[in-house]
Amino acid sequence: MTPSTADQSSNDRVLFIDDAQIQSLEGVQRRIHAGARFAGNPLLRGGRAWESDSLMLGTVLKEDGRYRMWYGSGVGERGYAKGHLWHLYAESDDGIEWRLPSLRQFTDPEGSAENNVFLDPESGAHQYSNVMRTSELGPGRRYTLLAYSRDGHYIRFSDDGLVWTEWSSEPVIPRFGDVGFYLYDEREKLFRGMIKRHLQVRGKRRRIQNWTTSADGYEWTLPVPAVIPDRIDDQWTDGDPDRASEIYGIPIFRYGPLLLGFMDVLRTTNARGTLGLNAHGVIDVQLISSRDGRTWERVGDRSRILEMGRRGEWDGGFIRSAQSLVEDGDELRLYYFGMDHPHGAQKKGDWRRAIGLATWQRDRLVGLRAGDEGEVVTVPVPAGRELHVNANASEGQITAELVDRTGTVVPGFEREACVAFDGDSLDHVIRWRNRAPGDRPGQRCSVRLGLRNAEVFSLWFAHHP
Amino acid sequence: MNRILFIDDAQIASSRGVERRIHPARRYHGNPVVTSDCAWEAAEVIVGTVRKEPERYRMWYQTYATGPGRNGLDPFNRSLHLYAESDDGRTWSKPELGVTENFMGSYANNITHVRPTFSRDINPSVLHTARAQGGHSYTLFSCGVGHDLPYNGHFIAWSDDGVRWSDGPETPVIPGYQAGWFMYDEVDATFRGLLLWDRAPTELFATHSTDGVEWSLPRPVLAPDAADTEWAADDPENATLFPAMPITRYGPLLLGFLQVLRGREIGGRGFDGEMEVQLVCSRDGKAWHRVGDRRPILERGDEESWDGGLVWMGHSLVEDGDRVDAYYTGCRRTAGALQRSRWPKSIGVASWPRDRLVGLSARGDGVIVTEATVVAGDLRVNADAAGGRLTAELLDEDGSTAIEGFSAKEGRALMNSDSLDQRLEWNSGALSSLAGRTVRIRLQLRDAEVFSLWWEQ
Repeated sequence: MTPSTADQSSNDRVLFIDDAQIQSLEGVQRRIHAGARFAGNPLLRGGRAWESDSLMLGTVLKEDGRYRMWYGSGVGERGYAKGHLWHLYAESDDGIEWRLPSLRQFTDPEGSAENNVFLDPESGAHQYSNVMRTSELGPGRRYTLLAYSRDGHYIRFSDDGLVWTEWSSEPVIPRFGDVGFYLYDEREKLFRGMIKRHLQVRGKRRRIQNWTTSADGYEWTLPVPAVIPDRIDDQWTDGDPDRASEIYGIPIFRYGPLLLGFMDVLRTTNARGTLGLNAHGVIDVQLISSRDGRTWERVGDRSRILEMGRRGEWDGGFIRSAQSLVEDGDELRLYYFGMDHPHGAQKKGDWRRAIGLATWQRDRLVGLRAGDEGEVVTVPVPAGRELHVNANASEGQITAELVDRTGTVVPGFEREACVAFDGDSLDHVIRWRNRAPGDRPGQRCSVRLGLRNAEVFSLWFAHHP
Repeated sequence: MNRILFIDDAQIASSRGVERRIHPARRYHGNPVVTSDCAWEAAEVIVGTVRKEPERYRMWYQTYATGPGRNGLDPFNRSLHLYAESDDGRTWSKPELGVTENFMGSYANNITHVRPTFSRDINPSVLHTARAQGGHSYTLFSCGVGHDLPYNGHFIAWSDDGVRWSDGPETPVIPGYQAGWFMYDEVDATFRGLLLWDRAPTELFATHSTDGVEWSLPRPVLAPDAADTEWAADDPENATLFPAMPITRYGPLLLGFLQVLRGREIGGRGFDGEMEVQLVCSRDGKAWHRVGDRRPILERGDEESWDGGLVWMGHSLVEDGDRVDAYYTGCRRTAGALQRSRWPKSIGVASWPRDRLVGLSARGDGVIVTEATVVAGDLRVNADAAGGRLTAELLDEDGSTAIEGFSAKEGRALMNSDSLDQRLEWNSGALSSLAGRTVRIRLQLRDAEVFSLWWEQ
């Protein structure tokens, strides 16, 4: 059976990305699964009359069966004002084939309005368009856009995400850096931002990402660093003071009970590139998570959650995600942009950025895997009618037992009575031979999983009949 | 808070024939009052905060100490927060506090606070916060940088006696910003900070907090304008910086002492140029205004004197009876000396007669009508009418009509002297008959200058 949307977004879903819902672990290892890069990448390249050939991704949303993308075209050889972006819009039915609707809002340099430009190029906004669906804010503000321009981060509002009718005359976040990502967190009814500034860390001035929140999009809290590069991040520098790890950007997402960040760790050298000193380097995209938006944790062994392409490929030099994680049934999609040169590298010949796609199966960004034998015990959670797991036990097996708050196994829900799972399923219902969890409505219990050569990604109790 | 000051226009409904005059502080003839004379003090001592307390004057200042280190191996390079006391604010002593070890391994010194893991811990602002949330008698903010810190920013510490400090969180309460100046405002129980943005010492940001730990998003409040940069004459190497702005409450106003630096990069010496101190003011801590014609409120000393190159204000406005004192750091060398701790700097004091930082002056005849004010006791004026005269009348709330018995014609409300505190009276009767009534005060000046008005019970 397929879990309902309510089940998927429920607070009760236990994810193993962090330790917050885990009581104890034994014999298991947290594994990070890099997204599978789509074979047909890149999905979108620039080069139309009003675009350069260098695209940057802002946002992808899926609404009412339709994919919507807000992206930007970098400055090309067409004489547009330096530092400005064309802010562009695309749509798709499947998220793979994209069409560029004629929005007829702004005249492009060739004198035509038959283009997909959605923001006045003269607005000065020169960074990614973070577009959020904010229906709760009422008419005129069903969509909110936040973007850096000149002297800070500005807010705009729209009813359809295309025509932007209200905007702030002053930056809502003055100054800070030109990289910022924003989320409207429907669960908490607030805006969350992650914005760049430079701070001194271990004697080196570095890009650092700072979290901030706002109830209305206008008044923001003092941005505070989310993650500071530590000595592990700096290991690759071999103590060379000209090298450092910096945090370049962190798009943030609500994912069930968690907030996730796709953190770009930029490894810089002091080589001079097109962006000046201290900007030349490659990026690792790593996962971070938070339960409250204030305290952020590195996930697992920090391996990459998104891999670059091979050298020479379109995404072999630099990749970055954006506000572009889309939950779509059994699939998680992350749109990203890439280029074939490192960040800040001297331009050699064509310098292209394009937009591509990476995917995971639902909940399978991070799992707990046991080799021979392992055990995972969750914190007590409200028991429901059925226990579901998302796990791969195709080369082994998983059993479960229910444990009450005193640590005693609930009679009838012993591991020995459990029907072992030995498949690979995004949604498998665990059964016991004589009883069903539905016999224990409203009670809380821990789930103790026994794993042998298996990996578990999530579990939840279904509460519906 | 019923004092009317003429530093800004907020309490003035209209005026004619008067101009706002800025009066630079008079520097004390016995300056400098604190110099570097202890082994643990480097060549420079820089004033932080001065307070007048019932028993004594107290000064918190800083030095950047260098030494061989106790074991002769580790260099001792760090900012020290130091302490001095005085009975009169002029003669200062440096007590042996016995709270912190100096680089010679002795506690017989006046070091009140040092953070060993900080390589620099500058701009200490000591705030008296006994009435603030948390109830610590004193709160210290300073700007820290260090290899072993999580990251740079503004850190907090607390003390009950101003001498023994306990540090707050390991991370800064305000991340980043290259310098900050702080105050605690008892009027609205608010901590206020003015911050200098990381990379541009041209722009000042204001922030506030109820507890000193959680701060608001800093918003830009001051940056050089065309009048500030006109001198640069389109030479791109010339620049006007605003490298500092200590803030303080003064009656109904917040005052800021804005350091204005006009200069350029000078090979091998960094940014250097002419620096002066100008006055700015605010009524709400959010909107800050330049005062008058921007003349310096504190001037440098003569060229060869100890403060002939640089004057640098501390958090140090002390109201002391009929006198207002400001403590400042001075240096024989120009502003670039701030980057060089080995260039000697000392601490001096300058003062104004009470309320006489800024006045409204008439040469010939002038008129000032105040905003509405509630009669609450006697009307007092601080004015210099020794070469002319000043008369006052009370108008009704909308300012259209003189109140019978309190017009200029009916007045003994005449002043032709120079007084910090002159009672204004009318022939017709006591002001007590108007107690609680909302009025406006109309001043007529001839060759006179007025500094403040207030009601006194």
